[in-house]
Amino acid sequence: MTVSFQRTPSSTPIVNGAIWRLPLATIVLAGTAWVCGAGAGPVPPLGPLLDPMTGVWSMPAAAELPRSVEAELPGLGAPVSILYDERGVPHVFATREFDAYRALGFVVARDRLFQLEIQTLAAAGRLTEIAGPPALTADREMRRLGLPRSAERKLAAMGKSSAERQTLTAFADGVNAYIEEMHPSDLPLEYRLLGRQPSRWEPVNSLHLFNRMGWTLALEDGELSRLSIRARVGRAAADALFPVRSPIQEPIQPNGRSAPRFDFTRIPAPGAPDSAAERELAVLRELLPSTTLDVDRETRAGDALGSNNWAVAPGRTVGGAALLAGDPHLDLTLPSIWYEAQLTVPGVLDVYGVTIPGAPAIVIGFNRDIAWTFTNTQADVLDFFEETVNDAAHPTRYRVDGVWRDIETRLERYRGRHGEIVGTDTVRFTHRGPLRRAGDRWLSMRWTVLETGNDVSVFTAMSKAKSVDGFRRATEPYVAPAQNMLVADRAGHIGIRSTGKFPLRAGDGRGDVIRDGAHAANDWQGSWPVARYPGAVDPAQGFLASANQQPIDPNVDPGYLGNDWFPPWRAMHINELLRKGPAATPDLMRRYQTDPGSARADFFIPVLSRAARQRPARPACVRSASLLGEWDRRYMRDNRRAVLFEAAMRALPRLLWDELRPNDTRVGDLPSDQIVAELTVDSSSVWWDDRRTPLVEHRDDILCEALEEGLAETLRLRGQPDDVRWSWERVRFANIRHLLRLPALSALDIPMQGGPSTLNPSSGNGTYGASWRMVAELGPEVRAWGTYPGGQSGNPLSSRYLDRLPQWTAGTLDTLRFPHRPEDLAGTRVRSWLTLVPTRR
Amino acid sequence: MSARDWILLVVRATGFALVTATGGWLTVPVTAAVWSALPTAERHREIKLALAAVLSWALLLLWNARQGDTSRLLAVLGGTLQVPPVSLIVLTLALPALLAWSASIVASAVGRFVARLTARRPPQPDAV
Repeated sequence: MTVSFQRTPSSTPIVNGAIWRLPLATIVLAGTAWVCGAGAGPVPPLGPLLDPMTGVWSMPAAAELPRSVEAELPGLGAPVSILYDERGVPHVFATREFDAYRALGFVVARDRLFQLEIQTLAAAGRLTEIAGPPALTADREMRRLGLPRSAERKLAAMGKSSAERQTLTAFADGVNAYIEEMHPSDLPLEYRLLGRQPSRWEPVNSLHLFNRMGWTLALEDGELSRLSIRARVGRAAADALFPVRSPIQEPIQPNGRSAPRFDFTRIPAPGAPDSAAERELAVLRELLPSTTLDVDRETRAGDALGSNNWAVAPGRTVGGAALLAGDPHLDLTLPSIWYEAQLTVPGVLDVYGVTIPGAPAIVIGFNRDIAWTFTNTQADVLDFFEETVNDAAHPTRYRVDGVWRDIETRLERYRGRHGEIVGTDTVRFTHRGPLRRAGDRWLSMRWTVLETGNDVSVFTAMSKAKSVDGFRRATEPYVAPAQNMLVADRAGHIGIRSTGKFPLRAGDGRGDVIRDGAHAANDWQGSWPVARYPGAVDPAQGFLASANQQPIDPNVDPGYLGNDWFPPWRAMHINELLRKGPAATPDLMRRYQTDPGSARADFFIPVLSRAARQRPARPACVRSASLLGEWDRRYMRDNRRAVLFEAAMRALPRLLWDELRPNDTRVGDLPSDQIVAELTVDSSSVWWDDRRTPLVEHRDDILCEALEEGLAETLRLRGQPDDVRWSWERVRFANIRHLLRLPALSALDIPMQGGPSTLNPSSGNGTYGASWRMVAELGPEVRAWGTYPGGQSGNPLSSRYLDRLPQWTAGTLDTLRFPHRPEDLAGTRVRSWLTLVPTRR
Repeated sequence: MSARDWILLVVRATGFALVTATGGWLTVPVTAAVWSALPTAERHREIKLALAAVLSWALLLLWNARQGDTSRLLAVLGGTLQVPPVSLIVLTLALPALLAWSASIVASAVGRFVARLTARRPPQPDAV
């Protein structure tokens, strides 16, 4: 820009040489002010963003916890002392229980404010408010599933003075107090980039969060898989390919065996396509949200979404105390899904563990007497009912047993970034749940996640339990998502129970069919009595373990609980380690959590080798098997054979399941590898024949071909077998993405030990894995260790944002400090003090 | 620049820094406008005000840099916005410059216009 300086501004003529200056300046002023104040397109308002005092430039100064600070918190009954230890974990010492929950809300908001809000918006179907119309699809799914309505109803069902309601309110008070007192420089970066300010936290938000957990863990799509296969090869084959009974039985509830039981049977030949199933499939595909299909097939097949837990009785431990270990595998995000905290109220509550930001309780953890952890039960808790409606286009009533009932309607409005309405929906509900149209049919859905319960109280109660029995009693009312709840106590008891509301259904009890809603007899008939829940206490084998496998041996209880069990490879490996390993120590438990061994590789490598021996005239097959023979079947980062095995295992379903349209890679459309295992004992099964070739293939032909294809692919992509590119650490990575998927705020391409179906699974796109690892020793004084991938702070500028990643990657754990009193956390172990005091005004 | 100009620069930069610290970015154009509306003759006043505004924000950035790890901020923010980190500094300093410069010119013109209206005589071109 060239500027003429011939005159002083006060004497600049408007009409001669500098005539352009005023219009130009006006345009610049207006434009700059607009961009600073309102932003432009995706650019946030630059004024607040770049303001040197309150904008991003002020953030580094506020990134670390101050040494000591005092804050006011309305509603507090008495001052609360909070000490942050060297790992950034707040230890809350309160004198009243609800004060502890207020303080929890405050400290969680302090570290994870943006996460609190975005999780809630996602669960409430309100993401359009920050992302605009692109989020409309995701929001519609949430609302059409009835999740926001359910949260509101759950809140309304609580008495205003109930402990549960007071807990939610106390937590909300804490969050809001932080928002009100927050210095502008504490505003999280994400808000600045989005040009937003934090919203007030409402008690219902915690319930949205619990519902979101249910959506993540209990929205099963196993029915889709079975139906799609049934449509292609008929019911008998589909039932065998997606069996309700796992063909490898290693149940959570010990069945008295000292080894897995292989219930392998002959899989029926492909039958005629089932057109009825094809129609039902089309219906269900419209109803089950597409987000359930987000997980790539390899991730799902590799168990990266599964979880592990196990406990060892004192008789099998070196220290003579029960040991408990747990590592829930979930979406790996930054900040982490978990937040560590201690809540202590003398005589009432003394608990340490991890909470999900927004939950007013410790979800997984330990107290002075017990430790507990969960894996997902995978139960079928969702059913569809075809309704008879009065108007196929705009129904207002539906008929049950000849009586018309009113359909409840709810107008859903989706708001954009500036409050404008970007979409509307009319969502309908029957007494069963949300009613949706699929083609020319109307189906309502019943789902335990939507049903009222006392789950907040259950989490509070489990924190206070003092024994395995007490924990089991405390968790009896728990509804959803059903969890395999593992607990150990200082008295040396261990126990596990698959806990949640399991529907009792009419007829054969199966939940994988669409029932006729016109008859009340087809409704759920109640739920399983707690006494029938799969589980065990102090089993003779001296340990308990779960890894999302079928909870109970169907020979023990054939009742229908679900059909979407994970292959038991991880369970088999845990049990083998615990059965055959030395007496357990906490460190051994820790090492098991990232043990690179694989029951899946142990099963398939001999099968593949045998096939190669049967086909000596196929040199590539023999070479491939020979290379695999050099492998110890452990997914260490430096091993150079796992890559070949995985390539062969990827080729195998492609070659084997030609009858099932193998090019269709939609999630769950192909049987799991435990079915492949089952098929390997039937060498002449027609399934082995590749119908696309004129020959009739035998099992060993297909296995050999898989070996050959795997070798060819690996050679093509990675060079010769001694090439460093064959190293597992060049193959599989963890990818821990920021909640907004911003690469600069994410931790990507982290080499991992572990592979598909190992205890520390790394599969597919690497965005799922062990979200929290904990080991607890229930000795005279409970000791525990833990870590998660990320850090306590959600601020990317904080040293606590990603400080735990090295431990998590290496498989080491931090000592979790659990002081009785503030004074016990002395000296350099205290990073910061926060004192919350009642509002003085 | 004369000694007076330097003193004015420091005074104005201090003033911009203070108002920014207390009232935020929006005070920069407002302050520049107020200073420009003052009926004093000064050559290149809008440029000097812009310079003072830049200097004030530069000082505030330096002050912030002493309080925390600004290099990490630059890396994170540059990566997030997918721009070179240094461009964030340039952009940050450009804002007060543009705001002060443009507000100064507009305020001067408005001031003159108001003065002429007040004097109840038709607007005349300024003498050279």
